[in-house]
Amino acid sequence: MRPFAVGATAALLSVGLFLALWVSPPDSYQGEYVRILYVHVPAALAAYGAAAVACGASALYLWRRDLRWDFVGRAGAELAALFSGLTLLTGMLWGKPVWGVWWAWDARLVTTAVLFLLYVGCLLVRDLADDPERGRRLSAAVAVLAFLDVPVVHYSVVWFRTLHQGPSISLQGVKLAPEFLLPLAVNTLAYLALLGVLLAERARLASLEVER
Amino acid sequence: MKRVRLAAAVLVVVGSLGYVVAGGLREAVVYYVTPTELQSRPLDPRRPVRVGGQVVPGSLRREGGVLRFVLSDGQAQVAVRFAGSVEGLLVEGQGAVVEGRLGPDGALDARSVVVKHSEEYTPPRSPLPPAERSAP
Repeated sequence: MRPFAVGATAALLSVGLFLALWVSPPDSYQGEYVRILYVHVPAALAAYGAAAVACGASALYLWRRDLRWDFVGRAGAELAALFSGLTLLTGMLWGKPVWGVWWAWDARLVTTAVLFLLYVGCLLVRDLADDPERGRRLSAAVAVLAFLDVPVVHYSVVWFRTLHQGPSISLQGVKLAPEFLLPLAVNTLAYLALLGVLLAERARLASLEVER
Repeated sequence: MKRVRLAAAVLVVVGSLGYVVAGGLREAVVYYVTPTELQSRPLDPRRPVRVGGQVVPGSLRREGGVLRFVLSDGQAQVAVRFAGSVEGLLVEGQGAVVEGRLGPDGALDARSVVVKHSEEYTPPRSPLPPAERSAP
């Protein structure tokens, strides 16, 4: 199962990169900068997924006190920090040439930065307590609460008036030409597969550390 | 020693969270006002204001180092003057968010012009509309 999952993820990521760099046309207004979309949006969705896993596993750990849930919760929190950081980074790299600024204090950007900092904090408090069990519980509690920010991040562009554009794909319709939709779909699938593989590997590593 | 380092790290994270939330709450909920809102409310001309709208097609031009265009929300319009260079992809028919002060003639003297990109993505079919772009 493991070699298959890793192989399939690597293949998906390669196809996604090929579609993003060669098959996708440039956008009529932003030109080649549209290619950043194929990392930015999949990374954001992977961050949502990692945050959901961290929340669920942490809640189960607080309830059952089974260390295996802590391994998964920790992996989820680390990956939520990683992917939300990647979302912020790619967003800034796109914002500078298209908006003209690296950063703006609008609701989407602020809530995403808060999401990143919440998971960095979640990882920090784990080592704060002298008693490792207290650290695990503190970290799990933060991971459960931090997930509340995910819907706020997602709907910030609908609820508030932001510089960041609204959703291109929603119930109101798809405002993305089909030429952009396929690379985006494949890359999203690839990043979610990568999230799954990294979650499993990180949780396994944590369990090996405890066994030793 | 470990605890001091950890406490410092937590302080940095909590401090950045506080900074982001405080910085965000001030402006985040409504990032800009529309030209209609700008005209319907009495405004202190000394205070800077951030206005967002569409760059009216045909209004974008540069005269002697000053960039001029008109922002519209479909109902009201506001003229913009900007002496600097725009670093983003400012294009007629697309959005822009302008920060500045209202001049005595009702035009906005911009301190910064930021481009607001639409959520629509289309491949190029016709030649690109003229973009006002200058190197930083």
